[in-house]
Amino acid sequence: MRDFEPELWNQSAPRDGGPGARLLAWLREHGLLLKETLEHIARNLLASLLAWALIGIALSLPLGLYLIESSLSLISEPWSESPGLTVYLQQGTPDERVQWLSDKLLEDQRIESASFVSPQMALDQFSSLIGLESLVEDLDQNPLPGSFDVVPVPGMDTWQYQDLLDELERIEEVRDVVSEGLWLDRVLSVSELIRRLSWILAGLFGVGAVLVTASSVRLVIESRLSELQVMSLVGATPRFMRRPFIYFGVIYGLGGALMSAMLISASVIILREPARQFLGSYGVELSVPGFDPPLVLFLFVVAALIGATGALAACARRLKSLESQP
Amino acid sequence: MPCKPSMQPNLWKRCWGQTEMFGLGVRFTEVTKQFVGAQRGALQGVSHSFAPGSITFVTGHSGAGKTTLLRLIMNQFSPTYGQVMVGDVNLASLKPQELPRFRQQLGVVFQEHRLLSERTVLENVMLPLRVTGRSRALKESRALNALSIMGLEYKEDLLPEQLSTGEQQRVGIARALVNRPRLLLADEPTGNLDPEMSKSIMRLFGEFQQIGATVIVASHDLALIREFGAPFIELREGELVGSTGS
Repeated sequence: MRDFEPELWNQSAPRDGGPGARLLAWLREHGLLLKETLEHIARNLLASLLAWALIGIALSLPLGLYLIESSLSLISEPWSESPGLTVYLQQGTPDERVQWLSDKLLEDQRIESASFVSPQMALDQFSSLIGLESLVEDLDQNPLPGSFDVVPVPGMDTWQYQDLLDELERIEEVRDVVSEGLWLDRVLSVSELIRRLSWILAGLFGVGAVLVTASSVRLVIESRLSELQVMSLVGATPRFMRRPFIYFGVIYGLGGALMSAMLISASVIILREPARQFLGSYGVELSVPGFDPPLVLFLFVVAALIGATGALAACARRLKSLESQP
Repeated sequence: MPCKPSMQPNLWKRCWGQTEMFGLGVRFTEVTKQFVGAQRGALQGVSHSFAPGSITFVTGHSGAGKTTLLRLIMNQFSPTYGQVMVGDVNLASLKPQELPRFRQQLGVVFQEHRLLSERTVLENVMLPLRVTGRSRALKESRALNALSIMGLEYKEDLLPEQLSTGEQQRVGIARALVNRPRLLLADEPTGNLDPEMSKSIMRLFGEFQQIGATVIVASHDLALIREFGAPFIELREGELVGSTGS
């Protein structure tokens, strides 16, 4: 040990510099923290993977429900303005009455188009759809009625739509009027149910993800408690002490988002074909909307915020009691 | 002109460049500290003033209250009764957000050195500068100089566990000095050092005090204190039972 020599202390000590140098020091500090955080995560990879998996699962359920709800919305979109109507005629309606009805429908300002489906055309469509042409050929008579496919003009409100439906039902030659809105209403009801469910689950699982992050960060804090105590005693501000743990929280959140994206992608791949077949039977083409760059970005931002919130919660609890440590 | 220990204070100040060293005085007024569940107070009715720029030893047997006295100055907890003033600040009135800045003026040598085991010697010494957001160049420069003063040059890249106990304690002292504290608190700083090294450390504290810092050293080694000839106060079972020369 040598004598205390202040010139040794000072001569080579550069000044702190201006705001630029301070900013550089600040950026370097953050870079160092990020490096230390990643190193810690790499050293404790198994625990980190577990945290990521838990957060990923918590994010996946509401996200998955959101995607289902978006798909249902797309299915209903083509009918969402004014659902089509199928006007079934009485059996044996004479051709001149069919022609009269066709003219009446086409003259109606509320109807955009009306196309007649004869009993034979209906039978042909039915037999080709079920693939039992020979069985249909053996029928003595065609049991299917003639019908009109009616497309109302867009932009009708519910009351106008209902009036049109009622008027059509009152026509003598009409046996029944079926609105595509019936099953559309069901789809929309299910869609609304799923939408609300996804919000509730997003809230619940969001809180769960925050708690998982807080718990994981809490473990990191415990493992670095002596370091924090020393930092506190040498004058570290709470913000300085929180900083590395917020990095932990954000990285846990981002890892969880990555896990969630992978889980959802895998689920889409597994479910795509059966869903395509199911929807195809309704003449609807499957599309999975939303799982695109903006949604992925949203997922990662939300996950990072959840992670940071969890970290802040853990820090608020633990760092407060730091001073009471022996 | 080279700066040497024992120079006139104005020369010392010049040697410190822009830094003006004005030590912080400490005043205890009827301070009692009673921990929850304890039979008696760790400190009982202690009144004493540590003048700015002075060096004072606090002595007494184990459990006499030396560490409690230092921890009260660090504001790790508040006194049960009485008042602790550091400079012109009543520590009881210090707001939580003011505590870090207050502590940045202190240098603390811990009894068990409390080095961070996963960080290198250099990183340990740089820590007080790191929390104040200093530039990397300044941090490294000051930390390396502090290590050099402690005779630990070329050991900056080692981990604490690769050092002897005495070396670890010297790293702890370097860390306490690196921020140029206005008030240096040392809790049994020579406990792990050989007699020669202990004297060197004490001399170092004396020289640090000469440039204006206030130094308070808790030590049970009365022989060393007497040899050093500095004023001291003696605690016994939490009570101030004697003081010399302050």
